[in-house]
Amino acid sequence: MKRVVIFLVILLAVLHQDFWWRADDRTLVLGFLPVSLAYHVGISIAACLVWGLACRYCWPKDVDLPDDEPATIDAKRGIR
Amino acid sequence: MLLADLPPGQLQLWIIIAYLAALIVLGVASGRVFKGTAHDYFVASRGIGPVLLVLSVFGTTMTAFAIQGSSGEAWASGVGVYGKMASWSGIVHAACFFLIGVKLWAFGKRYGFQTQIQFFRERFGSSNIGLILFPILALLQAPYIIIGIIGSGIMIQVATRGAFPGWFESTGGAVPFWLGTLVATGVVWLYVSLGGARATAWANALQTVIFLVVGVVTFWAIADRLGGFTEATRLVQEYNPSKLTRSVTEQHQQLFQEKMAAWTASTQPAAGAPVLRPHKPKAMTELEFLSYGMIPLSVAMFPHLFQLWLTARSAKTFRMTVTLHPLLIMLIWAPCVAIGIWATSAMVGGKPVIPFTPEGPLVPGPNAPVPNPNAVLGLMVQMLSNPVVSGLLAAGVLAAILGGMDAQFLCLGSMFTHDIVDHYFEHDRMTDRQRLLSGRIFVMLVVAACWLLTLALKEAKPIFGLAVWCFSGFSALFPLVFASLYWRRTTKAGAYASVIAGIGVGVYYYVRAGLERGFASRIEPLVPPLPGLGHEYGVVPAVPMVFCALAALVLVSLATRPPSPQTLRKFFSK
Repeated sequence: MKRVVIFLVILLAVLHQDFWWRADDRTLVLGFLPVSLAYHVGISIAACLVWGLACRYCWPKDVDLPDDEPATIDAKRGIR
Repeated sequence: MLLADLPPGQLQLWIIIAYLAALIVLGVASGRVFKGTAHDYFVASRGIGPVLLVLSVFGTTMTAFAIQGSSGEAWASGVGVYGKMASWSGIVHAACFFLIGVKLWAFGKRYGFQTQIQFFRERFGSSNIGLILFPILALLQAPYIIIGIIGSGIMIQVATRGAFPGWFESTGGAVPFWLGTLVATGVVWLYVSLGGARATAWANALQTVIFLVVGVVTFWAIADRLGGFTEATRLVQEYNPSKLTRSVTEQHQQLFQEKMAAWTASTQPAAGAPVLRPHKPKAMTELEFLSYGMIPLSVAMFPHLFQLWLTARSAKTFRMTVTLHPLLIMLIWAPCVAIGIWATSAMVGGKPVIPFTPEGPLVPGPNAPVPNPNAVLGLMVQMLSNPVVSGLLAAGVLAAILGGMDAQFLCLGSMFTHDIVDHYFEHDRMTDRQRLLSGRIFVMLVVAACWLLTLALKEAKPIFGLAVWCFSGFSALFPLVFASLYWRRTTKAGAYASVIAGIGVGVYYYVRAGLERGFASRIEPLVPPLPGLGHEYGVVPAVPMVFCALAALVLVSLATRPPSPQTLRKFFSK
């Protein structure tokens, strides 16, 4: 799954460069939204989904610390 | 007394006062749960939950530019602004939170770090890395804060025009700049002093809600006034179709010539009312569009964001922030960009709404208004003739401004306390009580210094152009933070080389552009990536800065002795 998420992030970055709408000033989505703007709104929504997948399936394993861990270390350092 | 009986500007003033009072109430409430320790003051005892974290991180990263600037830039440059700023930010900010924020939070919790410099000192075994990083971080942040204070003063002055005709004659009855900025910064200082990081997080959450609501309300009201969403966009297609794309076609040029001829004829003395002046079509190159992807890397090194990350209750708290951040950006940027595009061709009762274009005023003359993209949103709201929406907009813009400022004040106070006073004068032995006292004193000094600098620099135009350069400066530090977390081979010498190369290249480009075009002008943030290339290859300065910083980091790290096994065990346990 990690590879799928990495692929999706790269795909997002590639799809971001939407040169194919570059000169289209006539197509309107919902009758008022310029197609390029609508497309990038879609990119934002897709980013939300992709990073949601990353959080679900690629969450780093070494970052979830037990609650009592900092107390020991903070005590040593004079409660930073 | 009815609302209609109030003098102009007074209703807006009351809305602003209500908003500032709400901030003070939040400050007092957070002060009641304040535990009286430096740990609580600087990082809220690392107890902030997921909802508060997502709202406060978003409120901190979105400055006034998200509301005011986005509309203004869309008005000046067209629809491409959303892609180059908002959708890039959605992808890259979330990546930075996921890859960097979570790990830094874990090291912060495990080893008790409260500033970025504390982390870098330990990671590179260099007691003095702060001597190079502290001035850079503080100097990059100062213009950002000052621009915010200037924005708050201008916004209060514009919104309250006519409120006190007998008191402030020189400003047309508006709350004067010095007083507006004093009150705004004073309120921020008060709630930061009362509740520290917790007050900052609560205030940012409130501010995020306010400017999301304001964005949507303004969007609907403006569309309605322009005859509906479809009609507003149709006018753009008719007068300025190039604003709906990133390119300039032959038809765009032809239409511009025709509309320009009609406008020129309308400005002759014998003619009637002036017609809409078209904007000169302006293309955005694909390279420029791509290069803006480097700017959001700056969030990885914002000191105030680092401070906010540390307040998270657990690593899992970040999940909601990583996931929802792109969506929140979209919710605020898309309506504001649409308003900016509509503003290029907006007419009410046959009259243009914006009295200027980027190229000049609608009606030439000695008293003609100076083109100012930041005024566009205000003018669009003024068209509504609705003091409630005007007041809400003022509160929304203030919320966006103050939301970034509070965290910046707090983190500068923390950096002065931990990285300078405690490290160099007390040899890291300050007691908790001393650090709390020092933090509060430094926050007060930073607020006072920034306010005084704002009064002195109010008229200094270069400060505005400096903002994008400052973001580029933070981006140039991205290779440093990323490599320090993910590349075991990164060495102390490589870290120093990276900072010097990245920031050095930025200073070189800034000075060169300033000498060519004058420091008093707004220095355009596009530079050729390689010597000898023309402006058609212009990219944001962050591109050469990031690549030079990366090259220096890799080459020097490989050429110097690897970090000690103890350091590697500490930061790369697996």
